[in-house]
Amino acid sequence: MGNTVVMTLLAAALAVGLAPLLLLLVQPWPGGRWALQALWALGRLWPPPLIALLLLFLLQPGIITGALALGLHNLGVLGRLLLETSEHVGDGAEQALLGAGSGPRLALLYGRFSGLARPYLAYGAYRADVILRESVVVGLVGATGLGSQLLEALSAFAFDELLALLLAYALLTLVGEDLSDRLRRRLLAGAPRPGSPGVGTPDRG
Amino acid sequence: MSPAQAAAANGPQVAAPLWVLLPALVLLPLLLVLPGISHGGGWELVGQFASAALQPSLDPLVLRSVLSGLGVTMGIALLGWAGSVVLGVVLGVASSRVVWQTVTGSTALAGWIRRLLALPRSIHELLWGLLLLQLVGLQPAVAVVAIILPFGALVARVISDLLDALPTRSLEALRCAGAPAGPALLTALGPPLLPQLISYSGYRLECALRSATLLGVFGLGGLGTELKLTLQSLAFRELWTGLWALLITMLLLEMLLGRLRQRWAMPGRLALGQTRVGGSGRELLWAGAALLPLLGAVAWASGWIRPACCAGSPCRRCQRPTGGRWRPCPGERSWATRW
Repeated sequence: MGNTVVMTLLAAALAVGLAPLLLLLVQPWPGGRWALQALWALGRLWPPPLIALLLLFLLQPGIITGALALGLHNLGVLGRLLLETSEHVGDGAEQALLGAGSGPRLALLYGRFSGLARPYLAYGAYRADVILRESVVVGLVGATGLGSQLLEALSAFAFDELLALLLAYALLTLVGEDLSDRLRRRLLAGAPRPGSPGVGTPDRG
Repeated sequence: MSPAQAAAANGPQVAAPLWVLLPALVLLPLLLVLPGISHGGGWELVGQFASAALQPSLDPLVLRSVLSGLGVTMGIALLGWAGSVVLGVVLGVASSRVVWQTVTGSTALAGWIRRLLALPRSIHELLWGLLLLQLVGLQPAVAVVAIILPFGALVARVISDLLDALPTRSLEALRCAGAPAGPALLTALGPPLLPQLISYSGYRLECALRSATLLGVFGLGGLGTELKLTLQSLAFRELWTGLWALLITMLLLEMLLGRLRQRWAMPGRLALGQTRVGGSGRELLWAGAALLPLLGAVAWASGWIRPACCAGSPCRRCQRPTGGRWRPCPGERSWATRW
């Protein structure tokens, strides 16, 4: 169970952090954004277990391989969302920064991403919840975590063990969901005061 | 960090831009660990995989198998999505506090239904699929039901959250003017809910396509099965045929949903734009009317066309064994190869 949690956090940090970082890196080149979009489309397309199988060509099975597979898949989802939303924001601030002589990367970071940071990170918290559920999927392929134990119980027809594992898994995801909801509300609620009532939009999409 | 905190304290809209990049710090320890767990034996394989992307197999047999697999995957996604949205709307209304408050005056039951829904929601659709597989065997409905159960509970939660967050002023006004509970709820909460509902269910369709592919990877039918088998047998050119087909389908679907979302003035998924009730109800009705026969046709095809080849038993037409092979039996017309 500890493995599952570590894998989830690692994958979520990878997916949430890499999307803006890669966008910033390719910002000066006109074709870079297209290349990224293609890469992310492939990441969304491949189910995590397939990515894990591909990674197994190069890496040993384990938590990190599973986390990489989950992270790359969710990077595709998050990256597309970030790109779509940053296009909706409007480029007034970015153009102003560019006109004032700042570089393209800084202009993107301060002009667009600063207004997006809270909703984006809040969505990232929701995504972490999704990843926690999905972590069972790469576990089934032979990486570690709750998933491989579940598959073993399932294929051994050990139904009492299976029931215990399922309950543990359900409990874990419900706790994770609650934590991610709290984090999301706090991020959306504005100033991070402890105990402030959550007023975040309930749109979990 | 101090300017960041000052900015955060000033208003909810301003956040330190560098916050976005903080999670990427995890890359540093990861890069340190990666050389330790890499075994470096598979670089040629990865090279073959990448070069096969440009020359996917165009063998008619492979193409036919990929297309039939894609049909199954899309059928599963579509049926699972439609079922989960219907179930989710019904359960979402049934677990909404506002609805219970308006109809009966107490919200206790809403909380209980919510708690009951937590269990199907907390278990991934793949686990549902594998459990159902153990219980009822390999049937077309297994993948669809496996998607409907968790997705339906998830949609129900989102709908009830959305309903409870809507402003209730117009509802109270209608109730005070003497309108009965049902029509008052529908009139006051329906229109503001609709754009959010459609935007979210469009997103769920994308998720359903991903889930259907994933279920296929674990042998529940469709293109995912072929993807996994071709990858495991290192048949990269055949693998890329399936990948390209799936990629085109996914991008077309996302483009279509994005267009529809914009056209009907849907809020974006981060809900940054203002929400507006679109005046395109007629279009919506037409789209719904077009969707129903499509769903019917998919369901009919999955139920009516029986499998021509069952895994392990010889094909009835050509008497060739079919078990374990990734290619469908030639001449078969079922879109459900492995069922």
